[in-house]
Amino acid sequence: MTTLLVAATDLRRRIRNRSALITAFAAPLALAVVFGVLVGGAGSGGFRIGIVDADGSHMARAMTAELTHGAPAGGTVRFAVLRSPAEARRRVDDGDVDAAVVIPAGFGAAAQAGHARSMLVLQRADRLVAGEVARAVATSVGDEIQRVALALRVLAAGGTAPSPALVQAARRQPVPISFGRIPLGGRELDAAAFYGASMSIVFLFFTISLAARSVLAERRDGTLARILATPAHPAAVLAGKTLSVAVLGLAGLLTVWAVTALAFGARWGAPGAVALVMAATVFAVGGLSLLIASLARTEQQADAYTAVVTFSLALLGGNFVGPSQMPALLRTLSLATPNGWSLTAFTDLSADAAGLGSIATALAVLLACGLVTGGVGLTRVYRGMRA
Amino acid sequence: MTAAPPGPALRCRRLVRRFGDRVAVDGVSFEIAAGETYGLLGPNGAGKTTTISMVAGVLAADAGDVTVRGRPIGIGAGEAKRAIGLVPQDVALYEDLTAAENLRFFGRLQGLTGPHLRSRIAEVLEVVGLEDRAGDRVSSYSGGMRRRANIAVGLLHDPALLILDEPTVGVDPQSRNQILESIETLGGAGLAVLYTTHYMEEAERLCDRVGIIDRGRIVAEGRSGTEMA
Repeated sequence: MTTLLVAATDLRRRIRNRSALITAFAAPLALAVVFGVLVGGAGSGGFRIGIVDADGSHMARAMTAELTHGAPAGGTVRFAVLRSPAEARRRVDDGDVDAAVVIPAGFGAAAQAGHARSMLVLQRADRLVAGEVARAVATSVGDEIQRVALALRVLAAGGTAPSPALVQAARRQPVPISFGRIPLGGRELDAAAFYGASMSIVFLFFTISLAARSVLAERRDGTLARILATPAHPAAVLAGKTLSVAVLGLAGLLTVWAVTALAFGARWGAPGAVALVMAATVFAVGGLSLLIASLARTEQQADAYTAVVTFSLALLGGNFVGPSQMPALLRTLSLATPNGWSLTAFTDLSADAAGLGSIATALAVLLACGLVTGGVGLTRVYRGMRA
Repeated sequence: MTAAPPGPALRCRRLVRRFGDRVAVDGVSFEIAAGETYGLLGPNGAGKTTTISMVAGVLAADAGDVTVRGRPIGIGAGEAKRAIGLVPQDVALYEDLTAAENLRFFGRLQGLTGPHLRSRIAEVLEVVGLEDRAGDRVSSYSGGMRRRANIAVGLLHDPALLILDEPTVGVDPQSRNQILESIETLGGAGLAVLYTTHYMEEAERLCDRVGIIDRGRIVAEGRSGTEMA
């Protein structure tokens, strides 16, 4: 009863105090969107490459058809057939496509005759990665065509004219570009989901540290003494304060999940497992935040300790770059943080690569972290309330 | 207020509290009878606030004991604590809540619920003259209004013992007079009052008995306006 009363009153006050809402909801959501768009191309669906067949030869037509139909639907690289180099230039400039590959007139005949003829890649200066993708496509296709043409010429030079069937078979060879993905699992990692989880975890530290911070503030303001003068048990009061920020933190995570999924199509993975990882993350971060804040004697100290530990763990845990992009040593070290375990679980779920075992391990580690650090933190705060 | 059991409303025996090497309260003993107003008079830093923090169960004593209506104070001492109304020196209210919301919160912590809680809130707001501002946030109150709301929370659950820690510090003369008149009325209604102050004239006006505390010890005690032992 006391716990729920304190939790409800604390929540009411925090909702009126908009800074808590910013920490729990607005800031992680805004940063998740910004990071997702900047780093992951959230909302763009990957790279869109234009293809211009200015040659019209059988080889060029086959190449264009293979690229446009060979790429998987909804994949990272998609191709669009454009009518002319001029249109390609205009659409690259406008940003309708990220880059374009132009197959020049006479390309097929030159290849069959053994003459070098370059394809043209158009890219914008600010879309370097897309340009590299288009260049890789052109190089790979060109190399394979040269190999087939060389084989045919070798046969011809040996006095044996290639049979029409062989020539046709060579022409029917698929364009040697494959669009497979890094086999994380069934799907590609979703940047919006990753940064949604990542930024929510960072701000969760600040949200949950409000519990211990509020004990310090209430001691300063005298309301803690007034509460302790009532029959309410101090442990129930502390539980209420912790419950209120845990609810706020979990609501923040759920909001970021809902908004990124609905507005940006972010794929977080199986909802039940995602909810479990979120709850375990709130528990782990809650414990650690309480421990950090319990070391402080003033609100200013609590803020400073929370900021230092939060950003250190965020850097180490891979919140800003993602564990998969970290060097091997740091990737291992990231598993010394609750952030690392939580992000690994969210990443696996988003990529559909999570086995029951890996998620269970992450959940167990997060719960253990919350129990140990939260236990010590709560004991320290409780003693502080009675001192 | 429930019927008073026989014996004093408050009994403190040989209370001691240390902060590191410093002894803030050193063997303080006194009693307050039902309906009596007891003044704890002393300079700043004498140990008044530490003493009443132990009396209210906010601070654990290193030695000695406190009983309120015969029941010891401590963690989980629900009955004893329910008999105490604490009015801290500084205004101890949530500024982002209204006066009514503050009263509702602290009333529920005291175990009040439903219509009884609502009627008590209305009564104490009337006593302190804030019934028209009950729905306003405390942050919008003047200093005097905050002081009165602070007292209202202490009175809410109809305690047997009201502890007032220097309630007139920093208050304008008009509000100070209002507060003193309210306390005189409460004392006359059978409430035991523990009143700390460093103003002799307040102690003489309000208190039936006065204990003078200095450096953590009661150095003199007697009836107000008479020579003290």
